Amino acid sequence: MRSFNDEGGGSAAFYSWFYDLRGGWGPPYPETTGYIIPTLLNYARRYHDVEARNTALKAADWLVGLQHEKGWLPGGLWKGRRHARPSVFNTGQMMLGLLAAYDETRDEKYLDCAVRASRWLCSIFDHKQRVWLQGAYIDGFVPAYYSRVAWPLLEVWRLTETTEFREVADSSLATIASWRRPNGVIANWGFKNGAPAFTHTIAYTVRGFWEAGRVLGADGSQYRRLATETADLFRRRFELKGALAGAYTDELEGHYWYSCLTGDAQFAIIWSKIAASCEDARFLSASLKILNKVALAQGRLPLSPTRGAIPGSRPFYGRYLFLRYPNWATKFFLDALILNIDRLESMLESVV
Amino acid sequence: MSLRIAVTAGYSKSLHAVALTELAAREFEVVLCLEVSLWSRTRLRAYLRQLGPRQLLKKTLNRILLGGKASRETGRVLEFMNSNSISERSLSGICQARGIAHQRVPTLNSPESVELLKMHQVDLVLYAGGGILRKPFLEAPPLGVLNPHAGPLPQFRGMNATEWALMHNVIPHTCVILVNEGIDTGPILVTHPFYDKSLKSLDDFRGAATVAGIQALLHGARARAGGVEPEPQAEGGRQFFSMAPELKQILEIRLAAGLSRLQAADRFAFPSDDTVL
Repeated sequence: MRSFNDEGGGSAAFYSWFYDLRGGWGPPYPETTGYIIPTLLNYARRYHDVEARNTALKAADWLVGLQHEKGWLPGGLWKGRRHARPSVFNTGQMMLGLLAAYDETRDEKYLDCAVRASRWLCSIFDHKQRVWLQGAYIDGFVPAYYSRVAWPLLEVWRLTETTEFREVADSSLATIASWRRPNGVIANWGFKNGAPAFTHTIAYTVRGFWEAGRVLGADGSQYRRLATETADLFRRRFELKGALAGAYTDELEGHYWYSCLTGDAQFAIIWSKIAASCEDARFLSASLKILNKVALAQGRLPLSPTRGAIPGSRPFYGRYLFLRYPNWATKFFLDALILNIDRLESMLESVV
Repeated sequence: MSLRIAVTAGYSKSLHAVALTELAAREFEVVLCLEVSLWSRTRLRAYLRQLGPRQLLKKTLNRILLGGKASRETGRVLEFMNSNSISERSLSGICQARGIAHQRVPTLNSPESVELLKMHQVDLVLYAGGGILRKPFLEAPPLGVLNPHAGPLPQFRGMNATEWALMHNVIPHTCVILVNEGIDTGPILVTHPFYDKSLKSLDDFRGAATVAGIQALLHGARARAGGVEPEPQAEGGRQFFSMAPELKQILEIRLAAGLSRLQAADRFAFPSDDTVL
């Protein structure tokens, strides 16, 4: 909540003593503001927190205001309209926030905004190569974590029954699924071609498949299976090594000298969801254990601006978000916490 | 057949290794005790991985500060030792009293350990701790290495098998297997359920599992001496790792509330992936 400024608007991308020597918040980040909205709304519902709800809805209004007339939402940190550039991935992530705001309020403006964004995503989809070639983070590189764009597109399809949204989402998922190698790695699941992938982007890819499969129901079982098998690959690695590496090469060699805490929290969410769906408590156990590890890194100084926040890496000089507390690390941590608290409470209820 | 037996141990004060050595020596010719050195780098790394730095520190401090204070788990083992008139509490003591060679080794997989098995012409090894075993060690004794696994097989392989079986409402078993290179995948020699209604906590179950493990190992040694061949495991089952503390807490609550509807392991099967996806 402290990452949002009082005038309304986005959540600051990160807090850091390194990037601003006086210590301070980074610029607002539309992408992560988007997917923080469902986190805050979920928290607000669970703990009856009106302020969290208001902050989430203000953030959703801010996102609506950022939309370009063509339907796209901006990539990168927000530095004003002049600098705004279309981004496929970031548009998808903001759609998740808009859909959560619509679900909460039933205000059509949020759904309209998500529909316009979906139309833009379909308009630039390359039907020959069956991927998005424009609006990339790095020109010419199509990441596997676009599965996390297919997911919100399918959510909009579910609400509007617009066939094109489903077709484009399905087509992109099938393409990305075909990139899977015999060792379980999905090609291009990192930020850059050939570079080791942070667990953050690996988890993005897996979650995209899992949620897309969930929305598609019986028609999405192949995506849920892919997500489960990939999640299991990393669960076993976590159990055997006692930690997930910060990043993995295409040969699955891990950089174990640091942890990408964001990716750890994201895997906690994925494992917890799989545990519930597949009735496999091993996934829940792994989820709880990795979350305990993430919790150890949480900022605890009483008056510090980073109180409650999760750093990008552990140790703090790890390669992911070096010396920063990104808002999305805390977001995924909170999502995982609420998910696991719910799971444990329901297990307890069945005992008592 | 007169068997020449070796017993392994993870540390000198390992009560179940002491009890096993003594009881085995009453029936067989125990010729060697291999005790793994507590302070080896490999071992510390394995503990760190398994427990994490905080838990490891806590466990070490508990051991140093509380020393011999018995938990309910060790209480059951002590009770079993007393009922079998075993007063000795250390491996070195029992070896000295029984004239058994007692060797401290860096790991069981070291060439030194394998050489010792050969030198003492060991027929069968009874495993009572000391880490994961590799091929050269497993192949050294002609009748192999027997390990008591504290969970029903093939369903519950790996760590905390008693806890995982209970979590799935399955009666816990000790299965004595002939160890192979897989994790708890070796053929089964003896199966021994150990549930009774007096067990009300995880410590109780762990203690009962340890006692059942000693009894089942002795049973297994007798079977091997009698020429019994172990049965290969059926397909299926899952490999488990250490259970998250939060799940153990829930299990404790369930145990304290009185477990009901525990089912036999042979009636239990995990749901197949096709039904859940």
